[in-house]
Amino acid sequence: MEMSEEQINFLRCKADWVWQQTLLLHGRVPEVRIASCLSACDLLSVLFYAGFLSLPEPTYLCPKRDRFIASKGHGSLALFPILADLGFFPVQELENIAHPEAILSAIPAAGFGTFETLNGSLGHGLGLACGMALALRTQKKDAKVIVLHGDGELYEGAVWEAIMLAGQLELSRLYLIVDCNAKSMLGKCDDIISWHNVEARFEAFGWECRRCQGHDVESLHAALQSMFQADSAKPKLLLADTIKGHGVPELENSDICHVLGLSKQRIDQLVEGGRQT
Amino acid sequence: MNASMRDAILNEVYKDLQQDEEIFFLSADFGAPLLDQLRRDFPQRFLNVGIAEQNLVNVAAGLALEGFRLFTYAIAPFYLRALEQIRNNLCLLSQYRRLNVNMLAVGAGCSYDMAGPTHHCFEDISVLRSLPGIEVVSPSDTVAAAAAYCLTKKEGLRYFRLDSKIIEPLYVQEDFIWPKSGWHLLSNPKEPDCCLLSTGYMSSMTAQIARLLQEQGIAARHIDILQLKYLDEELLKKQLTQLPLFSFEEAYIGKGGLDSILHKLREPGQNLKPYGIPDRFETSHGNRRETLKAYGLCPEKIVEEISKILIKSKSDTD
Repeated sequence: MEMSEEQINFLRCKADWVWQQTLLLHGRVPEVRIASCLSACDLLSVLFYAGFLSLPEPTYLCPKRDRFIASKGHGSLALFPILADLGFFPVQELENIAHPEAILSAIPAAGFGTFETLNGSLGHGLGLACGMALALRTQKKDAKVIVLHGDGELYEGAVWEAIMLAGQLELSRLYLIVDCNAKSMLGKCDDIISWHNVEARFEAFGWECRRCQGHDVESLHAALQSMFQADSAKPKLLLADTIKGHGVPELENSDICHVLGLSKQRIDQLVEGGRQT
Repeated sequence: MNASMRDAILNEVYKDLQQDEEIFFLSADFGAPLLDQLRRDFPQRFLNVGIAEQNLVNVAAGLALEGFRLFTYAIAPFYLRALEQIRNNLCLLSQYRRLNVNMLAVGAGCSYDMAGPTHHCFEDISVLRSLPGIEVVSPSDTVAAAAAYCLTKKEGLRYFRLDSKIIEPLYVQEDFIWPKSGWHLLSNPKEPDCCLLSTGYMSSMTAQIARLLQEQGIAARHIDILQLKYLDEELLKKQLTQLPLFSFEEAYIGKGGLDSILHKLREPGQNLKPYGIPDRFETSHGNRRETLKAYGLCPEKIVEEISKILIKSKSDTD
């Protein structure tokens, strides 16, 4: 079903707010890998605000929830404003990030919000998700298991152990969303190991693949809707084409934007002016 | 019991699978005749993840997060490949979430003798002991391995260091109960001249050493260390008082194994001579006795050394 103009505007507004809040988090904690976070703002906003996830209550490990794994640990801070907005913790916590007693840290810990596992060290989430999806199927529970992944993260060998197993086991309730920002820490993925036609590799291992524009809420919504409604026995992949450091020209134009930070003054300017793309 | 440690534990798992629906068994393409029966009878709760130890641990963590009691099954040295998965997704995660994961590691020390150094495992004790929140369980024979199964009923993380060979029995009684202290007094003469502490396969060699010492008129207290992380150290310390100590492990010397537990527990000036694997890989081919001998672990030679040390320390005291 196509979205109404009102729904589209709602998601765009939320995504812009998440983008601004994520920049402000970076202002409070310079260690936040801001470029990696900004590529995921739109896709996380559509995933969490458009009703795709079952989250009956904003409490940790709430029964009948869908499981969400932020395998792309450094880049999942864009979730903090979303979780605060959904009522998982007070919005005030966004101000307290990285204080000694704070819930929020520069890389998300487990034990709050929707953080089922520990992330940040890359390449672990999909294997854990395979175990969870297998457990839920064995227990005859119909919760979905959704993993947010980076494309650079796909270089980890353990990820491919999980990709092969998920296809073989036909973990049909396992959904892998890859934030394809096309850059790793030291440069373009194309210059390291190219992900050109990565769909063919997943398909060879028994996955069902989709691709969408990762900064266009309509494209994201249509792809997520189609993926979650699909009833094939295969695990499902969504490749969301994104721009690392989205909305900030100096990040977008740098091959090593992963390690770049922004000054407080620049952050204020960006929050005031909005995305410059 | 004419079975290996592996068979003893698999037998307990098989029995428990019949009554507990929350057990899941994962193998990294590693088998055993008993496992054939297990996977035939419980296909819904057995999975071969393939030769993929990193995924073995991650999938186990995922299943455990959803409430299953997990058993993973692989060759001991190959767990080292999954060290970061064990660290982050078991040890660290267990500080946030409830997990019950039991890693069955077959091939302790050089029990896969003929397979050579890639299949020998002398690092696991110190590597696993360095991680917070995981117990290193080191049974010394088949009866002890079966008794160790009781540990898996409680929430927690455990690494079971199992021999691949059938070991000379130390615990003859079938009703041996796993001690809460994590160690067991195997022999306790009235007036001991020394205390021998051993773990795993080395406990049977140490029992032989104790017998040879006895023939020379040397009385040895012998303690079998069954848990290498969360054992009752205070209680153990009382058994060590004023005796020269000798430790025996199929693990590297001075790198965080049994000897380092004893270094911590001994009194200042108390003699401790650790026997274990020196800092090198033995590349000659041989059976276990020959391989251990090449590493300097030969019962007759050790007995000779111990008696010399004891005679010297006695003459020093006199």
